[in-house]
Amino acid sequence: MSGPDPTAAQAAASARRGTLRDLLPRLFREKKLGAVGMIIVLVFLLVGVFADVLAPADIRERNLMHALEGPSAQFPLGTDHIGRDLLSRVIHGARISMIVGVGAVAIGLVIALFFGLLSGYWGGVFDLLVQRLVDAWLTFPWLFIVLTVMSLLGQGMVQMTVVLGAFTGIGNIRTVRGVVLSTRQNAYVEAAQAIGCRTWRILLRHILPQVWPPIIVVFTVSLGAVILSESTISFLGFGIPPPQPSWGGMLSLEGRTYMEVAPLLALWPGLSLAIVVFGINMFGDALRDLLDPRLTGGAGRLRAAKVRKRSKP
Amino acid sequence: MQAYILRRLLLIVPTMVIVSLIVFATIRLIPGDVIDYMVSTRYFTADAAVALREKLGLNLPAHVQYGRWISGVIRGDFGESLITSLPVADTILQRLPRSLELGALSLLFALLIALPVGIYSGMNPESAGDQILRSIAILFICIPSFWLGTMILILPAVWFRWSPPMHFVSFWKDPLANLTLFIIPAIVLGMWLSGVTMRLTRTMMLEVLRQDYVRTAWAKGLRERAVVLRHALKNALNPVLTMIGLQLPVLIGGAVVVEHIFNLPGIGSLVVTTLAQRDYTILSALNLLMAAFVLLVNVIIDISYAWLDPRIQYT
Repeated sequence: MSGPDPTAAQAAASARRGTLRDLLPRLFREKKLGAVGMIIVLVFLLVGVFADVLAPADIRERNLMHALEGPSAQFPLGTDHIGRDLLSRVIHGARISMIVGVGAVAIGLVIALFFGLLSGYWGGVFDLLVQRLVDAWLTFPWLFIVLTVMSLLGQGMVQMTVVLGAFTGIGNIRTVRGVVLSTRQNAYVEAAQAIGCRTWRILLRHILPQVWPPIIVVFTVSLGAVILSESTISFLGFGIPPPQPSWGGMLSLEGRTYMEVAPLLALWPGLSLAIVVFGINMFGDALRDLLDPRLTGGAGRLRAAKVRKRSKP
Repeated sequence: MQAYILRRLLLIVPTMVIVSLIVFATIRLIPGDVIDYMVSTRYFTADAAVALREKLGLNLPAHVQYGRWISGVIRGDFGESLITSLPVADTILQRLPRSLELGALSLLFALLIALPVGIYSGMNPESAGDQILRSIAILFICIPSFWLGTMILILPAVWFRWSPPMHFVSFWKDPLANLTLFIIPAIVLGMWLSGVTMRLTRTMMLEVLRQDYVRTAWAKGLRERAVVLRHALKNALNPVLTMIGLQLPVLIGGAVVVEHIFNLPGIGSLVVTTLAQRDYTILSALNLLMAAFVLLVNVIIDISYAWLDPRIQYT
């Protein structure tokens, strides 16, 4: 092989774009569980956006007369230790998870794309430095360093989002870089360089489109990881401060203190969390199989193996 | 081979230097001086604060502080705790065996479940058993450990008036009581890893069982046991081992949560208490040591490839 054939690369590129376009029908046709996951994710996002409208009660309203009650018509999931409506708190918890999750993933996306694109395209000393930094970063037990940073910055939603975003971003630089390295070999990138395109134009118009499919997969799965991290850190008491109804925080404070009187208090936030993480994982798995069979995962590899066998002469 | 091991070990040095710089920078450069915090909460006088700053060398330029810290670390001296004034190394050494026990037990649990199930699923893809077991694996991955741990504390107490033991007993004093204490936290911690390992083992078995040398083994008339365990499994396990090494930081993070919930006095619960007290000498030491541990385990896994897969040649 003297080099990739430009027409083949174009064909591959248009095939890629094709997979992005008819993604939804394929998801419902081939990946039933992934479609269920997508519906869970959509419901979660909608509940987060419309939390104000959906929550039946004010989350700050205290009804000390009704503290620690079981489910009733007035309080569908019961009440907490100062009589706040649990259903409303769980709904607002979805909003917090959503804001932190989507915000952190967006920050992470910007970091991963910026450093990944430049590191893969420029190579050289910059690449070497970034890669060593990523190496070192990946050996940290992430919870240790996130907790350390959170304890120094102080609790709060903004801090949480920024810290988790930085972590997601740095962890995924390598994914972007890998795609850039293989895309850079294509003749059309060389052609663009030859006619004197500026670096940013090559990166954004010629390389970025190739980076999207694996990035969509990786960041969908990251959304689940971020939401889980936020609730874990809030559970340990270093994340979202108490008056705000974070799922992790609800489990930690009220859930553990009043667990023998009202065991259901700890059930709902955790159950919501588990369902959302399940949905995101299923959706992410399906996306991975549909968009990027090269990444390790469920049936994608299996199908690739079958295709290879069939195409043998 | 020896040259490869040596080079792999030498490569730890630059990575550890970067790791130590990150640890140093996170703790010193982020706003919120520890001494200010102590003055505000602990009725420190301003004079005492100045004296403490001097003693800890916080008034020196950053590179001198780093040099002092790192030269101590190389000699095994991590400084003293800001709160208890005990040597940091002693505190960590005292708690380390408990966390290692928890980690080893949860790894054991994860592999005991994941490997047989993964092999079975890989041998019978899309069978009813495979589908059920895969769903269970997904369940294992999705249930947050802190929720599961809390539920295990709550529900048996409400239903059967029984709750897991919470008082720490040393293994050497009473091995049985010690193991009953650790077994539930170990299962809670190992569940996630078990689910992930199960899925990867299945995928790898599917891929390996398709290969020509496995067909040859069948054609030679070997029994199923020999084909699966001696020929296929060995090659399927290679990526599984790599994955476990890469997931080690997640497992250590999980140990923080599990030790906190079940009140085990290990490294994880030490993290939670020192964070609350902002005891940053212990925090720096813990961050650095854990990163070194992860790095070392990954190097050992890299080296063990030679044993698992003789096709890999080291040059």
